[in-house]
Formats: sequence, C-alpha cells, structure tokens
Amino acid sequence: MPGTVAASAVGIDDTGHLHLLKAFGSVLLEEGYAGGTLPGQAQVRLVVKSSVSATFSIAARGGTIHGGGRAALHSSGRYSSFGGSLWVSGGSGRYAHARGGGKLYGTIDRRTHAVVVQAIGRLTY
Amino acid sequence: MTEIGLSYPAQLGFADSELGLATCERARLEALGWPGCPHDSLMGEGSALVEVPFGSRTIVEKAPLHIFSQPVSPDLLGLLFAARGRSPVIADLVFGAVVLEAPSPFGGLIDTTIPLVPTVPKGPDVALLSLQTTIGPPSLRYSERVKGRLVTFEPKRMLLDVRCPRGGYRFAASVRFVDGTLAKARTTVRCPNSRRD
Repeated sequence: MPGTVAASAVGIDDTGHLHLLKAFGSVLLEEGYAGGTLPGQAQVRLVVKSSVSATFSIAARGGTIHGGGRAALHSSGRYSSFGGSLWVSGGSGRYAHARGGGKLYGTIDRRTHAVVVQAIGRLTY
Repeated sequence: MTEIGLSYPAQLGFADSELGLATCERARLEALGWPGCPHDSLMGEGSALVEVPFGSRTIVEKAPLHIFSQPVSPDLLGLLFAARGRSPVIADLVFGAVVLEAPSPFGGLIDTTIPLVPTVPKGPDVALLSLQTTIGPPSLRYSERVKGRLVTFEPKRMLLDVRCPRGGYRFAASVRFVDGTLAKARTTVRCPNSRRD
C-alpha cells in the first residue's frame, strides 16, 4: 500500500568491549564499540547488586537503539559473569519503532572494570 | 544466634569494589582452615564471642574471625565466615552468608545462617554470642602478576557514593536466636557535611 513502510526483522548477535567511564555506588557507566550484526558505539549503565540490571543505547548506522536487561550473577572472583535477558524498547532514526528481545551475557573484570557483553536475539524496526 | 540479617545502604559501592578477587569453597575452608583459601579471597576480619562447654561448665571465648568471598551459588553472591577459637577450647565455626535483594532505601541484605555446632552428647551446642567485623580492613593487601613479577596492591574497598541521601545512610539488622525470638534494630549514619545531597 502507498505510504506504508515494511517492518524489518533481523537476528542480533553483537559483542561489545566496554571500558569504564564512571563508577558510583552500585553503578558502572561503560562505553565502547559493539561489533556484530548491528555494529555501533554502545553506552551501558550496569547496576551490580545481587543481580545485574542494565540499560543501554547503541548508536548504529541510521539511528540509535535503546533497551534494557536483567541478569543473574553466575560467578564472582576477579571475573564476574552474568547471564539473563534483554529487551529493546525503542530508538531513533530508522530504529524509532524498534522492538525486540533476547539473551544477555557478560563478564566484568573487577580489577580493570572492563566489560565484555554479548547480546543475542531478534530485532524488528 | 542462628540467623543475622544486615541491610546496607543503596549507596554502598559493591560495583567498583575489588574485594574478593578470588573465591574460596566452603569445603576447602572447613578442611584446611583459612590458610587453605586463596589470599585474594579474604575480604574482612574481626572477632566472635563463642560460648563453649568446658568440663562441667560453659565458658566464653573470643575467637578471631575471617571473611572470605565464596563462589556464586545459586546465582547469589556469597560470603564465608570462619571463627577459630584456640584457647582454652579448640572451637572452629564456619558459616555462610548470601547477598539478597532488599527494598529501598537499602541496596541489599546480607543474610547469614549460623549453624548449631554440637559438642558432647546431651551437652550444649557451641553458641555464637556476638560478632564484630570489618569488611575491607586497612591492612588488606592482594597480589597480582605484572610482567612476570608478583606485585602487592591495596584492593579498592566498598566506597559510599559521594551523594549522601537525605537523612543519611540507612542500616538495619535483625538477629534470630535459637529459641525463635527475633531482635531488630535500625540506625542512620549522618551525612558528612561535604556530602549532603
């Protein structure tokens, strides 16, 4: 039909290598490059308590994607790993109507605060 | 005491603390004592007052206490407490704690279960009377290999967020005793003058 735009659906498998911007209380603010099916510059806010909750934005080609996630801690020690679920709640540009979800995995190096995070799922926009 | 719950402020910085860069399994601690745990799993120290049977009477003994990080299980951060009484009675006590979610204004709840340790048949159990601990004491040092050399460093403690909440940093504690009674307490640590939000 004229005037309509077909929605796109894409499988996501992205890995981000993030460095610490700021830490306060239970919060880590991290940013870095996320490579994979939807590459871009990522900013992530992690709240690390007995579980991990996250909000993120990825500046990809054509727009920004926003979302969040929640994960359980799987290991402690120097490398704290976590795993759980993520969701996409919206965005801007071509991703203004982005929605989606999937799995979230990550590791925090508690000595350097470097974070590696992996997102696997599906995105419609 | 059979159970201690300590709720801590949401502003307490677990996220960027370097305490517990290694972990110690409970079985290892019980079998080998605290020298058997990786040094970088040590998180705190203190003392415990323990009541133990001694002949026809019971005595109160002060025992040094160490706190270790234990592996996550199941999906929960955990701590291990090890008290080691040596005189006049040898009395070792190992018990665990988990870090749970807590409602605002708290950031979490450290829930500690203290086992009843039997002594002689039909005799009283070893009883924990009081506990005093410091997590991240000033003397704590860890080590790491840097370019092949072992280097000692001071791990970053759990720092309070510089933005102090209105009214101060809130703590709460609950203690359950062997007879089932429960005692509760709350306190607020006032904001330092330079940190008021």
